[in-house]
Amino acid sequence: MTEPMVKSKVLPTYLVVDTSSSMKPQEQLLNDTIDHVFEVLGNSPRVSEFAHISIVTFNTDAHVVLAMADIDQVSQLPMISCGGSTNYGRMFQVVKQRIDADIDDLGKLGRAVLRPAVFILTDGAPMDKNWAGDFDALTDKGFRRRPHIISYGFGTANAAVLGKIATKAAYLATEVDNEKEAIVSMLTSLLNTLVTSASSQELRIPEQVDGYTRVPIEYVN
Amino acid sequence: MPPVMEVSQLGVLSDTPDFKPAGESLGVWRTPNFPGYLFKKYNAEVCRKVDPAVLDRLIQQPHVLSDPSEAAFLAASTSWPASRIIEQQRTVGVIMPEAPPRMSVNWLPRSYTNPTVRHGPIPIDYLAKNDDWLEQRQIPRQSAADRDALCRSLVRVACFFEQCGLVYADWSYANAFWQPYEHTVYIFDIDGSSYGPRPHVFTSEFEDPLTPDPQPVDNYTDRYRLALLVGRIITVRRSQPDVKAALAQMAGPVPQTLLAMLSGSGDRTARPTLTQLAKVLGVLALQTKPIDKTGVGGWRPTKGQSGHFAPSRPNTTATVTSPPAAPGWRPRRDFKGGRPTHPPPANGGLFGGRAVAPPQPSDRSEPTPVLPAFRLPPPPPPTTTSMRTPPTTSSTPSPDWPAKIGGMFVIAFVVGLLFLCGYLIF
Repeated sequence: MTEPMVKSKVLPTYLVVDTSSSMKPQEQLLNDTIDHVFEVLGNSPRVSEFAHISIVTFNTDAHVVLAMADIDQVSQLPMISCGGSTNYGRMFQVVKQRIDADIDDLGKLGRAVLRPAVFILTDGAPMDKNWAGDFDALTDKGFRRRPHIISYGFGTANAAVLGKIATKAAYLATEVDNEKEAIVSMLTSLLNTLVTSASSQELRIPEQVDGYTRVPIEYVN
Repeated sequence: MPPVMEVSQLGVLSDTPDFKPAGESLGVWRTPNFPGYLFKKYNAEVCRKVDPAVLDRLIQQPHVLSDPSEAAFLAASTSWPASRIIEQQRTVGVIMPEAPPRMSVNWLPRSYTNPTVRHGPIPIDYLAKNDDWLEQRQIPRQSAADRDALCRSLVRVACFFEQCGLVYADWSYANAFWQPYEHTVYIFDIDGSSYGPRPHVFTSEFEDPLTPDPQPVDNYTDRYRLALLVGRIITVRRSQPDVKAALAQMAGPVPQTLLAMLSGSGDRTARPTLTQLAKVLGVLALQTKPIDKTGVGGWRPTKGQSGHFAPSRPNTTATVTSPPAAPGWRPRRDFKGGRPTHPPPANGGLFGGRAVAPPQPSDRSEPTPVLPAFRLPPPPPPTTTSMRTPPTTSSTPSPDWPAKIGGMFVIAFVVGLLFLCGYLIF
């Protein structure tokens, strides 16, 4: 019996944050909560070596504010600021570009790369009209590296849109007293998802997220 | 502490657990009536699957250690389950000791904004990180000698599992703490152990390539997983290929033994035993009292009584060091007072595994591995005392047939004598 080769699995994870002007009041909270997530993950080697994280922000344009990295190697975090409109199309384009580049890089490290997980946090509806084509390109079955997408919405986020931009699960904050709670709960959910997924070595999505209601995902096939 | 308790005896538990649910539990609570102990409440699935007899047997297992210092070592190194908890006659969990205060140290978790010193136990995961990583968190650097000492502590406990025929299956980053000043370890989640193989237990980053899911986990899997943990601690590498490469660069019997345990040259049954690893590490294995076929090392008071365990009954298989597979249970002719306290189930495992043959005495000092999994258990050792009696109903010849034949002769002789007397009289 030959000995199979053992490759460590890695889950490329994208935290995609809406930083449009409506998020401005939550700017500090957003930064603090992201700090907390990274602190917890940075002190849990078995999670941080399983889940590598990148942060993408989007408003009028989309930006990679933290390139895909082993959390252990992240010495400083970006200070996120908010402003502009809410354009989804550019965000989906950037995520797709990054997935291609990041999977190549992780593969070169000798890791077994899992299907990426994209966590989108938004507080409003898209203001651009033609984002659906970019979303389709990202999630097309022909795109071998298409990610799992989990969406979280609060504020004026639209349940129908959340359902459309998710492939795995969509959550709408319906039972939170304020937007702070929504952000903290979402990022805690992200944290728990990564911890649980690290234990099972596959993406494990929570059935429930505190303060959020799960909304149906729209399937087109 | 009573080996079985009603959940109400623990005191009033808080509404929410003190430690979050994980794996097989609904949460872990501190117990008001037993300070220093934790109640692990099983989820519905585990409650359904758990075998109370196996759990009872596991709870009693440390009693095979006759040397008080060795028993103290085990107690100081493990959160060994202390009592099975029931609710309306149904097993709902166990209580076990909380990590002792000496395991908690001050350290500085990494923080991007507001670093705050924390006082608590350190997961063994951190030992597979380099000294710079430790130092960033104000945890003392660990020299090669320190790491060796930690591994010896770890292997000494693991060896005890193997000696007792226990499959821990969960050797990983998640189930042990370590003390960076004393270089000791503290192992928990022992209640999930089984006597013999059991259904696959997935352990992140510790999956044995030769025991892939859904193959049952057994002592051979334990050898791989523990060797990987020890290898990671010694080499300070995390990925399995890196650990093996680093071990291959090292000289001496320890890296060689670890490499053999990690590969087994493609044959998992060829992996060196934990006892062999202990030997090359210079670890003095814990000396267990001989354990008889039943796996019962002593008798405890029946319900309503309190106090210490009754003295061990005479050993019937003095050369056996761990409980062999019991193909079945039969009544003891000399036992009138109830049922045995720890009858192993037919499947031998907490979650449905089958009993595995124990290592023979030679395993404790020789490289002979324990019997391979899935091999039929060996026949029981020959009966040497009246304590072990044959089944009351058996189709096989009784071992005391000479006595029976002798008895028949006596009866025939008496009957013949009576006939002769009758003939002479009449």
